[in-house]
Amino acid sequence: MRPKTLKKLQILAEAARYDVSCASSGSRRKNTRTGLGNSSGMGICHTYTEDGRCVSLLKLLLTNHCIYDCAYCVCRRSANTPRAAFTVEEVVALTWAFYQRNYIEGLFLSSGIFKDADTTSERLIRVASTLRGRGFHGYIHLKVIPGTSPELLLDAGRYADRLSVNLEIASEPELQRVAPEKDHASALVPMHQLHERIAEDQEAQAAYRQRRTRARPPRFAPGGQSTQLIVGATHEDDRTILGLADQLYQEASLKRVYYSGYIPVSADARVPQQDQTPLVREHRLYQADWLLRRYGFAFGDLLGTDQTHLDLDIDPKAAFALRNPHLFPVDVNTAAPLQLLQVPGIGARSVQRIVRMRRLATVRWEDLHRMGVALTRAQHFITVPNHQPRLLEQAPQRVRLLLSKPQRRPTAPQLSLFPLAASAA
Amino acid sequence: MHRYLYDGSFDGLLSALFAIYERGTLPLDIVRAEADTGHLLATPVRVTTSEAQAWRVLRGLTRTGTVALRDLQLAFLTQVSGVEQVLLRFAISQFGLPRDVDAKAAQPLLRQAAQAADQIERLAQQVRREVHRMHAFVRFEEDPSGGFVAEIEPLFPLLPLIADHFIARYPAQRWRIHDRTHHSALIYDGEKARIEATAHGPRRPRRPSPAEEHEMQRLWQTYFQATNIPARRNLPLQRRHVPLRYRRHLTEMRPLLDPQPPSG
Repeated sequence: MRPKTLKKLQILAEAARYDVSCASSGSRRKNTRTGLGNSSGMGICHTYTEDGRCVSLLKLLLTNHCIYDCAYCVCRRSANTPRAAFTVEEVVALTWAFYQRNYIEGLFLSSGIFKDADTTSERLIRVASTLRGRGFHGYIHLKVIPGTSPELLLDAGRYADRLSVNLEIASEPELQRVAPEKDHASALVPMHQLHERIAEDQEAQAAYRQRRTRARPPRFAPGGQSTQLIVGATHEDDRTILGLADQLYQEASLKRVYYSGYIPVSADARVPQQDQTPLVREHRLYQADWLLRRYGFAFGDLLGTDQTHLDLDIDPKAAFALRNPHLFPVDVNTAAPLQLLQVPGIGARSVQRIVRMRRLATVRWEDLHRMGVALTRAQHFITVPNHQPRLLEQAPQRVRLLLSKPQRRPTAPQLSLFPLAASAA
Repeated sequence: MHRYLYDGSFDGLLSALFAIYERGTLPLDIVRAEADTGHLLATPVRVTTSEAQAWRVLRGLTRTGTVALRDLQLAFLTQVSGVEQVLLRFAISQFGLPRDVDAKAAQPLLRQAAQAADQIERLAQQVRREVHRMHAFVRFEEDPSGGFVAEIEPLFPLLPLIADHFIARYPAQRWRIHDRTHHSALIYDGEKARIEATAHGPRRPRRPSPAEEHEMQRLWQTYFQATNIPARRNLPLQRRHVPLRYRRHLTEMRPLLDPQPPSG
């Protein structure tokens, strides 16, 4: 591999790192006798960088040359940043060699838009098709460039496990303000086309499994599609962001919506210059997102009627419980599983354990502890024979205080063991 | 009092349980014959491993479905000290006390027995987590002959449990995974996999890699640095996901390589 590759790898990995999607799960792909790699359906995080984020896929831009000038983006046309472009062969060779050494689960490839949407998409697809042609069966996540034509989408889905079109900015006026060359339609149109194709494909695969068709139809993006929203670069509130996410889950069956807390990467005055998106906001959005996807919550449950932002000091499930005290406390031994799932501190696994145990015996306080229920939170919202809480009824404000995470106090500077040595130096 | 010595295999331990119930009394201890250090008061009983007996015991243990057969095997595989006692207690929870044991005197034991299933599940879970980590943390290096080599130091002797995963992934390359903790190696020759015992011995200094392998490792280290977001630095979180004891064998966690491969 040529020495230039190393420099390119550095530039194009740094440019790609702000895309938060890293999932390598949800797709099953078998290997062949002579091939390389597979997907088991279960993601593997191969390592974690110093920021504590998982590294599952080789996450790269094909190029960071871009014709657009989006204020929030490191690769915008006007940015003064080193530019580079990989050849198709370079990305293929890197993916192959890294996979052979068990560094990665596969490839996540995106790109700056160096000419137009179709030319860029075509090049991305060529990387994927070359890899598959050589017998690579690991995970491939391709970014779909907004505005890509339907024919190319068909191709992309043939080779990729997952596709994603990034909306980036949740409201159209805000998008217009920071990225005047873009609009929502150019992302939403391909998204809906993908949605239809994925649904058709699932139907076709089901027909094959039930032996209604003889030949196995070629698969289309078996890992589904996802998108990303940048949080804090523009002025949308959480209600707008979660409303959009909910709509995408409902109407386009997205697998995931990722929320990326904006990190200032741009000197452009239209976006914040200082890091002002608290990490906890991103975290709360993900928690709310999980409630939507996995906990049977509706969008309307996430925020109070006149609330625009999620509470930062308590998690969205606790906030829901405090807004709806009439639903609590629930009796652990008789409540329906969905009711249990609404209790702060009780997760899906705990519900499973509770249901299994109460068939045989009455669940008591100490059993909950053993099952791993977060009792510090759950205690106010549940009853068991030896625990009948009153606090929620009598002093809901106090419960709220107990549930909110204590603010970290500034710590006193640590005293030096060697004060003299320090002053001498 | 008796001390049961078995051959160290799962079937051996199950045969020991069979023998215990046949005799009708509780043993002082059950130990692997090779780990036996002798005992002044207890009479040693050498257990003959019998597949038929082992099968009967295993069927009995899994009949109610309280614990899956797989979990029993995994729990045994941890080889943590006292795992034999845990299995005996679980047997008591399923079969009741051996014939001649005074139930009144054994009350505390019965309470312990009620917790044995949880203990077994926990042990099995530990093995599963370690297996998952090994799927993630194995790092192959290509040697000059085109084969791939990795070293690991897992908590449990789990090579048999990770073999299928790596065979499915890498059917067309020759590779070996060397378990330094348990002195064995999983070797795949491009056709079949086998597990071999390896020599005990001190850790040898890492040999410099051939030029091409050196280059790949450098690229990987470069990528690992570049994909990190310094503004989001969070070392405790990283450490939770990649505990220090795994890092010795992770290419990306080693000191950065020189641009030039070592000559010679």
